Amino acid sequence: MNKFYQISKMFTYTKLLATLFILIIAFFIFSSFYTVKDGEIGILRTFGKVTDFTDPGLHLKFPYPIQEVDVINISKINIMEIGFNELNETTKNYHNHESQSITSDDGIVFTDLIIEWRISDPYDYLFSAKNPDHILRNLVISSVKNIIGKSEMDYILTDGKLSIQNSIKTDVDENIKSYELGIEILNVKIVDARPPEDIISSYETVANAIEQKNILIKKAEEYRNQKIPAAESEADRIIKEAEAYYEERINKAKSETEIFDSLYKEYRISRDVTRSRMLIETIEEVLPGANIYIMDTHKGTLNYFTFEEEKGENK
Amino acid sequence: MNHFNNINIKKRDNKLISAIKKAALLISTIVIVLIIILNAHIVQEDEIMFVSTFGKTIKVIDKPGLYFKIPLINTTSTISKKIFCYESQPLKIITKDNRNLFIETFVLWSINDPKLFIHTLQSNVNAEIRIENTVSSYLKISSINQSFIDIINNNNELNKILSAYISDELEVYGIKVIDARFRNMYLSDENKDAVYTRIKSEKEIIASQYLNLGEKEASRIRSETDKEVNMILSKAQAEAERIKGAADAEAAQIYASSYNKDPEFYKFMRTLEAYKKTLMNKPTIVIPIDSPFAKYLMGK
Repeated sequence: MNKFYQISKMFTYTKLLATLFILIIAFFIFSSFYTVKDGEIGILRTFGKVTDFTDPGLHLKFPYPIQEVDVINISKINIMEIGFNELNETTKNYHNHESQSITSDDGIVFTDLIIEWRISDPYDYLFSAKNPDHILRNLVISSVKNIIGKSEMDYILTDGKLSIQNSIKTDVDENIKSYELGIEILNVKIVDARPPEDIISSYETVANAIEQKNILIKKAEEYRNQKIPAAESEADRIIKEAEAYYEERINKAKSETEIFDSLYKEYRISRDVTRSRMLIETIEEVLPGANIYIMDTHKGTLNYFTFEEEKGENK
Repeated sequence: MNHFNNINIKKRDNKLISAIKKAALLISTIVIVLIIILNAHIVQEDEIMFVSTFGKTIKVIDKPGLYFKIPLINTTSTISKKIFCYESQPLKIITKDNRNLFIETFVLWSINDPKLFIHTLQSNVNAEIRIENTVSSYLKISSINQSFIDIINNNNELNKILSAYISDELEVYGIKVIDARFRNMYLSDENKDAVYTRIKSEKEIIASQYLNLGEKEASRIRSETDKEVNMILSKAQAEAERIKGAADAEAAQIYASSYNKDPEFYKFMRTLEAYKKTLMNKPTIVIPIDSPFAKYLMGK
């Protein structure tokens, strides 16, 4: 009895309870603090009912299950990848079925998209749907199939990317708003649109053919760029030559007529003398070395002269 | 001494009794608290709670807060007010034009009539089975009348029809369909291969068209260039002829205006010049005796 009393004295219920109580209180106080960082909002529930939205800072609340808090980041831009997961900078993990779409002209394209979204209404985001991110994902995939199903394959692969991503954005935005999930779409980007791998070589063949075509045309244009200036310089040469001929011809005419004019001037002053002088000068010039026969038609004789002899005789 | 002993025993007994009393009080408090805690229910923002008495639903609570039930008599169950997303497995359908298309759908649904839902389906698992059956039966029936390309092109309209159909079908289970959509569509591998083959041959034609176009265009540029070169040259030639002609005409005019002063003298002069040219290399000349030149030579 004495022993029991001593033990009971050492471990009184009150002491035990007090320690327990202090421990529990300490735990509750410790777990009752929560922080809301910049760009976040705290949603406080008291017995399940939302009673407060708290701003960034340190906050105190009643312990679970009296009060519960969800801290939601409302400024972060979330990125959703459709068709692939970017594992790191170089490796991508592709989801085949997710990224392939059938086009309006019965083709198939593969597209990879990035969706940027943000929580616009934390209450709706928390309570309106089971898995809002997942709903968004399904909606985007559905929208991509829908809009690509209205577009032609080559358009999607070439100039259509921008207008298609805008259509997707509008479509997703409209629907996500109607679901009231508290999600806001900021941006939709088609990162890549490509033909299926099985027929990529065909696209390369076409690309090569286009290049080949351009090379052929370029070569022809080079030919043209070479031939035309050559022809022009040739034409220039022909005309220059004609002009030179013109100059020469006129100059010649002028110099010849000048000679004539000066002779004529002399001739007009003394006709006979000039005439005779000219004749004699010509004979002087021509006759040396000439064999001259003078034929007397009446006598039937032929006299032979040489100029030297004549000269000699004259001496 | 005895008295003393008695007092001691009494004291000890009193202490024991008070300790037992304390323990009993503590235990009963704990029990009461436990009963209260076990019968307290928190209804969250997105929940609906059913309270029933001996299996009969007496209360549907759809406002969040703390509620208590009577132990042993009342039972509770909660369901979610949230929108759920059901995703179907790919379902193979055969279109009107005999193509094998796999369609995946997703359905956004929530519980519209909790009582009806609880009575007919009980759980979300059952609800999703129902949805799945409805979606697949709709797809099997509707796909018969649709050609492949119609399904692809008129997605929006088909989504609306699907939504409406499912919505009608599921109303009786207390389910509200917010939206139902084709999530993904793809062809079977055989059909896909056929598409690839078609595109390949199309692209080959296009490639050869480009090559033809290139050759045509190139030869057009070349022949046009040749034509232009000819034109440039012939134009230049014509111009040169014109210049030369003008030169000749002008020269002729210069000569004429000079020589016309005395044609006879010109003839004389030209004759002399001609002599100079023709008689340079020891010519043999026969002259009639009565020609003026002979007279000169003879000294007459």
